[in-house]
Amino acid sequence: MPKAHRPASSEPIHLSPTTSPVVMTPEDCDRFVMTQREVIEACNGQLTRVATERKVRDDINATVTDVIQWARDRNDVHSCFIAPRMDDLLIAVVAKDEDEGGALHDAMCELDLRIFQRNRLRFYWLLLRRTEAEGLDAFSDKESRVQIFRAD
Amino acid sequence: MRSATKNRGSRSSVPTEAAHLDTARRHLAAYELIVDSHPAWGATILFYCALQLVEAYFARLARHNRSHSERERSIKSDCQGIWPAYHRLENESLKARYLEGGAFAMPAKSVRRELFDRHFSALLMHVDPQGNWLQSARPAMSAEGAEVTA
Repeated sequence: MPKAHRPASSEPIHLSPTTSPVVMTPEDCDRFVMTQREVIEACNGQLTRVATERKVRDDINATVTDVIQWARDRNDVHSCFIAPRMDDLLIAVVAKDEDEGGALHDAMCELDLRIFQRNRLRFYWLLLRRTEAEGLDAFSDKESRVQIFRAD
Repeated sequence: MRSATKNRGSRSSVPTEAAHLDTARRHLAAYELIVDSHPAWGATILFYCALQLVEAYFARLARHNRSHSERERSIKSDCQGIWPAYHRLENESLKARYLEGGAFAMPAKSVRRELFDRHFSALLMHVDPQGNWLQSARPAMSAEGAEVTA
């Protein structure tokens, strides 16, 4: 059975998916005692977590880029914000007018669906008419939201 | 007697399609009663009526959504046609409840015209294409309205 060992040199430690024990003592002395199999599983879990974080970060960045471009291409968007909520992100779009007829809302929903189909992430999209713009504070903290677009 | 839930007595019971439709019918009657005097609450009730209709649609497919986010995923994945209408109703109901200082901008006429005639009706076209539910709900609306106002 392969055996883990602590090399005196820089020789790599070799682990195999067995039940042989491994003891790890980090600087805070919070000692971990695991099987070699569990260590390998923990490594796989960490790699997956890092990859997922990177993908979510990339997806959010791509979404912000899309929202900015979408807002630039229209002439009825006053500003856009992104803000964290309890379990998702809020994207708030403030209209230049009262969006009579709902064309801006329909276009926003179309963008929402397109982005969801691409990354399956859930953002909450909120449209505020110009006269409702002050109400943004009811949906997000000033300190935590970021303005990502403002019309010239 | 009609069963309002499946698996009655179990911890995971979920409402049936009939139960959702019945709740939606009562919501619609309440909407009609209140929309002219309190359009913000009319918009709110109309959204919850739409929510019940959407859940009735999914119950027909033996599915149940336990949260707003789960429902949103279901609609966006399997019933995209209703998303703009559903989202508009949800958006207006959120603003009606949370915008401070009575900033909700829709008068009763706009709630009726934009939210009911356009968006609620569009949603109904998907979840009740034959109009059966609306036909059954309208007489009930009148009856319940008369009862409350009497």
